[in-house]
Parts: sequence; C-alpha cells; structure tokens
Amino acid sequence: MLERIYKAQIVMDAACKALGRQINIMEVCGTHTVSIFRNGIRTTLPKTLKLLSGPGCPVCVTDQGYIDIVLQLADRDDCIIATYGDMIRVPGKGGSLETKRTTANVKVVLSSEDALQLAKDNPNKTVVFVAVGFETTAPATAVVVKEAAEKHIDNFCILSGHKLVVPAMRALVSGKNHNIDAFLCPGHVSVIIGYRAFTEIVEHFSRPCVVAGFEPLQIIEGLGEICRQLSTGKAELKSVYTAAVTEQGNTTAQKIMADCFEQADGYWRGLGKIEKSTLKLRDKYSQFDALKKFDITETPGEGKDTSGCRCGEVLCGLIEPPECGLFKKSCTTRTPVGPCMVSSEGACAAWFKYGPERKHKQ
Amino acid sequence: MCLAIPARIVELEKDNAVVDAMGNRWKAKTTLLPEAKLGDLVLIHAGFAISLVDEEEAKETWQLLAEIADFEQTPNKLSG
Repeated sequence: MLERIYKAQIVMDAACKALGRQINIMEVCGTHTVSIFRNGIRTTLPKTLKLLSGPGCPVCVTDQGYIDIVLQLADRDDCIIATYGDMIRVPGKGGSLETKRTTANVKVVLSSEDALQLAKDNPNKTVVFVAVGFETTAPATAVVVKEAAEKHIDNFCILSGHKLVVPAMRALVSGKNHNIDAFLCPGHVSVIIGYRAFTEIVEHFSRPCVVAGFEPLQIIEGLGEICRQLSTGKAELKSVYTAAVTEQGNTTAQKIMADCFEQADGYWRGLGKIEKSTLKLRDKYSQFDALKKFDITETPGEGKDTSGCRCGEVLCGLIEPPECGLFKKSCTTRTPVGPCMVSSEGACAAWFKYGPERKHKQ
Repeated sequence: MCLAIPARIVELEKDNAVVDAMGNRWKAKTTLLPEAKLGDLVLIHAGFAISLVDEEEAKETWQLLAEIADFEQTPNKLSG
C-alpha cells in the first residue's frame, strides 16, 4: 500500500512542479471531505495543490426555503415528520426539528422504508418523509413511493429535496468566478449513476473527473491521477474505484428513479437556481407530494440564509471556512449557525474538528 | 450521507434481507439490486443494497470504519 501512496505522491509532486502554479481540485462529496480531513491527507499534499470542498453534502446544499417548509409542517398536529438524522439540527425560522421534537412529532429514520412503516403504524396521521440526498439516496425514496402507490398507503408523502450532482458541477464550471481545475468525483453516487455520467464535464469543460472511493489510498490515487492528467493537459474520465463503480452504474436504480421522478429546475444553497438539478415526483405520484397534499404555495428556494453565514461561498469553493466571520466564534459544532457546520459531512464541521488551526491551539 | 457500508447478506426472502457487517446485523432491501444472492457482499446505503462489492474492498472499509469509531471516541479539545 505504501508503494502505491509514494507512487501517487511522486506523480503529484512532478505535476505541481511542471505546472508551476496553484492547482485547485474540488472534492464534490462530503464523505470525501471528511475522509480527507480525518486521514490528514491535506498535510501530505504539495503546497501548490489546494483541495476545495464542493456542494456534495446534501444537508448543506438544501436551501433555507425547504428547511422552513419542513419546520412549518412539523407544527401541524396531524403530521409526523420522518427525517434522516443529518437534517435534524439544521436551523430555520423558529428553531430546528431538534428543538421542535418536544412538541412536534419528529422521528429520525435510517431508511425510507422506516418512514413508510411509520405511515402504516399511524393511520390517523400523515407521515411526511424529508427526502433529501443525491442519486445515492433518491432511488430508496422512489422504491417507497411506488410501494405506497401500490398498497394505497395514502397517509404517506414526501417533500422532495433530492438533488443531482452533475448539474451542480456544470453550474460551477459554467460560472465566471470559479477556480476549479478538476473534480474528484463521489464514489457512492457513481455506484448509481455510473462514471459515464461525468462525460460532459470532461468533454465540454475540459476538467479531469476521477471517481474515487473513501479509503485514504483511493483518494490519494485519485488525486495522483488528476495531477497526471493536468500535467499532460488532457482531461480524462477515470474511476479508481473499480470495486463498486461501473461505467453504466446501477441501471435498476436508475430506472426506478426515472419512473418516479422527473428532473426540475431547483434551488441550491450558495449556487442558487440550477436548471434540471432537482428531482420532483412525476404527476402519476402527485398524491404523495407533500407540497400538493398540504397546498403549500411557497416554493423552496425563497428562504434567506442566516445573516453573516457564508455557507454558500464555502459550498462553491470560493472561500475556506475560517474566512467566514462566524467560524469558531458564534458558529461551532455545538452551536451551528449554518448547515455546513451542522452536518457531520459539512466542510465547516470538518475544518472545525480536524482543520489545521487545531494543532496550533493544542 | 452518501456513505454506503459493505455487508454480507445472511438472510434473504424476496427483496427482504438481513445483512451483517462486523457482527452488526440489520434489515435491508435488495429491491435496487435484484441480482443479489444469499451470502453476497453488498454495499448498503440508507437501508438498500446498491452494489455488489468484493471481499478485499469490504475488509478495507470495515477496518477504516473501526478506526474512525476509535478516533471519534477521543475527546475533541476544541468542542469540549
């Protein structure tokens, strides 16, 4: 294993030297961000190689308007909110799901199946599943929506906050301000969508895209491969996560997702409205759409970020968390102001827990 | 949130499975991976098997998860 690490490091060093400028590689996935920090990978990289944390933490990119709708539904006596644990601490208007837990019916679930089971067990309440996540998670939501339709479980609905990774990457590299040279692409999203999904980023935007798993060796080898490509000046599509990622991805999951959802324009925290970047339920499943069931006219995306919070810029790789005035002052992992500090996969939380400043303070 | 855990299918009836990772067992569905068989190693995400995975990959991930669990138990001076 050490030999492979050395080999990747030699490639990185040589590429950085040859290029003679700063290289910015965005790791799109929040799980990569955490693994990079936990394993101290940043400290082993050449000085001119900078890693940017991208919009790959589902909690972080969920816009404030969506959060406020969830909190509004949590106040209803006839609802049970079923949510993945990651979402529970995100602050919005009048608190968070965690603070509402004492008065509202908020249940943490580990899977969409658990949410559907809650509906079966509580026929007098409507269960609203807080359906967030990228393509890794969206198929699991699709499965239960289909099951609810087949079994006529009418007291179940979802608030779809599902998002698609590639449109966000496209939006980032289409912008004028970006400084992204290449992408380290998410491992488990790619299990579903297949590595071919990143083709347009490579071909239209000439940005290397390399899929890697979450073990440190995978990440280092992925970064090595990106550096090799940058030094040759030719962007390529590659996966170093051959154990689980194929070119086509999981076609069963893709079909179930496509049957249930259609692509829609939608809002991302920090990135704003992105064309065809979110998933909304198809008309045939509209009875399971919480927005329609509760006649909610506000559309997600109209909410405002908490004053002073710069999560949006962090998510675009424009600033690093310590550049935000709230970081480590009013915003800490115990008292998070923005979602990037709330989520265990958020860039701010990773910097707070494992960031370089920590060693100076010890 | 997009982290999937490798686990072995130890029980399987239609698409209802019981999976095992490092001695922990829980229920999972194989709806998204109809080719999964009893005894297969699979990646589980949010209660669903999403891919087959090989033994070596699974072991590496389990080892890493165990290390993370140990690390997480060490006190964090800044937040403490």
